[in-house]
Amino acid sequence: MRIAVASGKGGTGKTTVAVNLSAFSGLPLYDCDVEEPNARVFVKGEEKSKPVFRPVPELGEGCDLCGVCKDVCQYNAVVVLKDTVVFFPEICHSCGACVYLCPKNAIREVNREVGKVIDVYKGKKKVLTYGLLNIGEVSPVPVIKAMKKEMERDAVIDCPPGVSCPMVESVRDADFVILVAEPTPFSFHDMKIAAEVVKELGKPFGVVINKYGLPYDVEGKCKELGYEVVGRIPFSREIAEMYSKGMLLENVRDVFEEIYDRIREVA
Amino acid sequence: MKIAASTAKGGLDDVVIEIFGRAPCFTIVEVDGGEIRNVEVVKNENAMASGGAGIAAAQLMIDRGVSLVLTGNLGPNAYNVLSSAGINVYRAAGMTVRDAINKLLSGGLETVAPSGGGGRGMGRGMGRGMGRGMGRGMGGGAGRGMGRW
Repeated sequence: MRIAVASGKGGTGKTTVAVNLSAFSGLPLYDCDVEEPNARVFVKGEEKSKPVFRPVPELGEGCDLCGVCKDVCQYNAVVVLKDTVVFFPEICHSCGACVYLCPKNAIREVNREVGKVIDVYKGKKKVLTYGLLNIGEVSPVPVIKAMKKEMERDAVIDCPPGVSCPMVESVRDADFVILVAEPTPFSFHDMKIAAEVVKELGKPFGVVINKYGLPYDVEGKCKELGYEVVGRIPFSREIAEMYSKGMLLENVRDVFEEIYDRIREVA
Repeated sequence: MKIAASTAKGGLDDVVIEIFGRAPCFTIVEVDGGEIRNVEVVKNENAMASGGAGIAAAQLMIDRGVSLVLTGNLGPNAYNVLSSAGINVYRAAGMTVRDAINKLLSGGLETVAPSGGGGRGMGRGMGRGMGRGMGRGMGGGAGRGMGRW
């Protein structure tokens, strides 16, 4: 079973939930927040990395400056000058339209490195896989896709915050989605948006409330909307201190074991 | 020759604005023998593009046969495209289009250097994309190539 951990608002506790759920359930951990992977702060070992590429256009032979490539590009990544055509690979989204539609087949695809997939080992055992996007790259999606190619049937997936392309790509192949909320109106507002996205993708989901005990009644609001709450992590200074030291939350291990049990019942 | 100014509303009496790639419109003035012969206001369809607005605006200048651009600041992408096309860029933000053209024709305007990263940023980012296709004609990477030519 693949469990994705998403949220909407950032900073609610996705990595807290993902790292500890993986540690106490034994499921492999995948950190798909490739723009800012932080599971590696908690799970360390020897790293083996592989590059990830995406195709970008390069001018070959036979161009007659017709401009079809420029006209079809939706990203303004092609310029036609008086005597040549210039591509902007940093802005290109690798859709392939220019290559496909060039009437003279004058454009070829070349690989552009966009990031890496890194497997972290403790001895022979893989303990974490994370992705790392190169600075300045336009989209995290190719790196997340590359990570999913090697993903086992069971996994815990730490997703990026928000609800745009990288979150959707991280959640897309999950069997269950945990939405991590904190007791604030901001978090609840953004979690509702994430819930809509998850519903649109046809995924069952449940809410884990982190920093549970703060005054805003996010649990009550979840009940009103019919969102199932599958776990509550108490608001505690001790937990915050352990987290800030990069430690697993052994003292509330049972909370994560219960979350795993609940998900297996509900999914 | 055609001179384009980045403007908000357009026309000879409108003011040249500080931005280029996302300017609402361009006022394209045809000048012949020191006299203004024609004025056209072209809407910038790419002003709201999520990316590459500067590149698209520069392409518009090339497509319209513009020889000179009057504006405020440009980023390195737009700047490089215009340079590769042999289009010079002059600082004229804050003046009316009419005044800017008169100043230009009497040699009173400064050329613009690109903002954000200048030579090094452009040389590397642009040098690869543009340097290889263009580099032979332009010199190794736009940033450095600029100094040379």
